[in-house]
Amino acid sequence: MSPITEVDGYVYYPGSKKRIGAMRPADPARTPWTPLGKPLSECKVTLVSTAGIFMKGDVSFDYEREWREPHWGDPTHREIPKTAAQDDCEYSHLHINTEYLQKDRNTAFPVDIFLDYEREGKIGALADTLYSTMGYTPNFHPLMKKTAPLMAEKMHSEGVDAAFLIPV
Amino acid sequence: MRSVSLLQRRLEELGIATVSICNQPEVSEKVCVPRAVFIQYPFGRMLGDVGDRAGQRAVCDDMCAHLEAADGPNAYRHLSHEWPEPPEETQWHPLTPAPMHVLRNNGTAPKGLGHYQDEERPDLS
Repeated sequence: MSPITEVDGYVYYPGSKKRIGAMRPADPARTPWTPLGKPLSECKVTLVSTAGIFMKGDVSFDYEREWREPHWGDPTHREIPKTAAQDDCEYSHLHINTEYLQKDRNTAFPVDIFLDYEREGKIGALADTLYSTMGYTPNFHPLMKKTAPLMAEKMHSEGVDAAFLIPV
Repeated sequence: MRSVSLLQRRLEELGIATVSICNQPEVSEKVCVPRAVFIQYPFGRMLGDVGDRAGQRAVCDDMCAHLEAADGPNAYRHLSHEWPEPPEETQWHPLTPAPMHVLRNNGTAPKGLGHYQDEERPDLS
């Protein structure tokens, strides 16, 4: 097998090709841009997972409604302290097998790797607050209009320079 | 995959520099995100397999490098990491099908993107 030079986006989910092909492209001239502005070793960074992660005892994402209305997904977010351990969290997204995350969050929520980065000085710091959404949100306007500004406000209050987004 | 790309755009608009990872490049490229790396890894384990800390870290290293190196929007990089098992033997689906997949399996799901509320796209204007 030859080395991967271009990722084939349909090897794991061929059935999505038609739907994705039907998506209207945005105008690349209007893609937003915020310069990083300084070396990563001086930046405070955070993580954003879409795995439906929440602290045990916190409010779950609303899956009861998704079962009643399969075209709807919970557009809210949850905050996870960077001090939370693997087993302090639930990993709840309905559209993937979450067993892997439950065994090792770094498969898609690399908290321990970024704590290593912080200790090593590769990043300036990992922010106190990390974030998760639940990635299946066809009803994405609330995610854009309400959830994202709340997340950004909290990130700014903690002096965050950059966010790493890891979908599932 | 579309939602995370839209969320990324919005966070970037709000003054946070962002980088994402994606195993479906066409989605990131169509939504137009600032910075993304692409990887041919399965859903749910996009950074690497359970317990493979060195491999997971190598992918995170690539995200860090791309965040620092990208000098303008729509900056995409295909990663060469290869998943250790063939796709047909790689499990990622939930053990219980998700609600929308139940509808797809019984032929009653909305056609195309009809259930995606993208008719106004104020986020992309």
